[in-house]
Amino acid sequence: MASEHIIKSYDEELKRLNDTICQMGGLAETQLSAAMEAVTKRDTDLAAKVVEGDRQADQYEREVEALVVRLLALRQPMGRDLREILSALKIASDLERMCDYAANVAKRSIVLSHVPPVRPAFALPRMARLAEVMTKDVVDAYVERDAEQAIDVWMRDEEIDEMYSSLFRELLTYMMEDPRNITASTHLLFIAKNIERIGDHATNIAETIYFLVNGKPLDQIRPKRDRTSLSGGPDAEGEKT
Amino acid sequence: MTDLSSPSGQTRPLTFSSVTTSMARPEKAIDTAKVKVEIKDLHFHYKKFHALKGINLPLRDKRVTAFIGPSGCGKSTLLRVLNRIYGLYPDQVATGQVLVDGKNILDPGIDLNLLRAKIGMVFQKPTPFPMSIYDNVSFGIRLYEKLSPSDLDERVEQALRRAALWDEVKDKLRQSGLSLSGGQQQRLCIARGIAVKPEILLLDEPASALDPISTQRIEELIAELKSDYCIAIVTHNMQQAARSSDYTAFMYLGELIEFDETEAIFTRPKKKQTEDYITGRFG
Repeated sequence: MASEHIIKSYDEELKRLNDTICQMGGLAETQLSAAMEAVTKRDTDLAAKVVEGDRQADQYEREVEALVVRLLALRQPMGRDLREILSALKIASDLERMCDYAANVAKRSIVLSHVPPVRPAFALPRMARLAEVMTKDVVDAYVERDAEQAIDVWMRDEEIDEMYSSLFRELLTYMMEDPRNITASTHLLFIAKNIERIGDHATNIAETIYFLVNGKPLDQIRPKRDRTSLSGGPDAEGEKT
Repeated sequence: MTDLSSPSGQTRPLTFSSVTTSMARPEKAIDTAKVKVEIKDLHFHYKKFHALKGINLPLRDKRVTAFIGPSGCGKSTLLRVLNRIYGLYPDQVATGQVLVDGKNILDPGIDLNLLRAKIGMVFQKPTPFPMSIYDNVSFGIRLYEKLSPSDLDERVEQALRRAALWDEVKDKLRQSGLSLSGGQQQRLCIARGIAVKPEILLLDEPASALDPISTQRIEELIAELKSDYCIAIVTHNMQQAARSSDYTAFMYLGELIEFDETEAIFTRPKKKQTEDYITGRFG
């Protein structure tokens, strides 16, 4: 952060806002990795913990909102300070959504552990790992106020989208092969979608960091590779762009 | 059984169109308002003190330009140059050019009375003349124009209405201007300033001695008057500059550090000094 304000308590409040966002970012990372561990190890206790842990994310978000309202009302922030405060509000809501998705992955893992496992979808843990790293890196970019690292994360979302597309086709194939796979495959599909969404929120945060640092929005168009919402089946045309 | 048909709260429609970044701002058109005052390489000395160091700046017609900066940065000096009040003091010298409608007003041959009829000024402390409210407003008009009593009445009423003071004083026009409250006195001074139909209005901290309600009235008045005048305002209140101006100039130690559209100055200033000043980090 930039040099100090004449009024010290203003700096303290901004620091508290910053620290809360960092803690939230750490929580989002651990929630996602624990949720994926619950899926791969079929660990329902761990899954229940993740679901419970989501409350903390909500709590953090409320804290951030209260701080932002206070800062806006009492400090009349301008310039960089204003961007710091607006960005914190936006990032907190993205992180809260990411934690929601992680909790949803954990919920589904509980259902999955009660049905016979389908052939492991190899892409899933890899995809989750990628989302975890993106989350970690985007939080680091926030801590360092590093717009270049944020753009790097932003570009990486493409990879997750590609993985999601191939997983989508793979799971459709399982379901066609044997209808008994449908329950498990559907849950896996939703889990994959959740992770894909986590990646999207990480890119939102990256955009916010870019705005925070540069004072202007990132107005490039990010390449999008997930075309499954337009796709009819595992071998349908036009899935790759 | 838990309903897992959709992930929690996933209600947004699935769209995969290109990413639109948030917080985007619409592109602003280039300001076509004409430049009323063009300040070129203006230097100002109080004896040996170099108070303005090469100021270059346009003031556009029908726009409000705010001057901000810490005490002693030269804001008020700049305003004082614009109507040549400094000329009352022999040790004060301005060099460079101040072109009003293309004419250099620093030229010694310029008619000061005509210049000051064209450029009205309101100061930090209300300065009504020790005479009636009516005479305060009509004083300037009488200097420049011969009007019939009824025309004069009309002009006084017009000026007081424009200054948002008419309703409060219409029944006591013969009372002394000094009997009014501070906020009313300030609006009386504005009425006096606009009664002579100037083209440029210079406001030197017009609201700094007023309570919040009077301050807002003055700001509303500035917004009103903007449609007819070129307005320059010096203020220490940054929120006031942000609220009421179209352009903002940040000055420091006699230099113009940054000049831009007000929105740009207060949201994404280009210079670090400006950023430090508006965010309260100035050491």
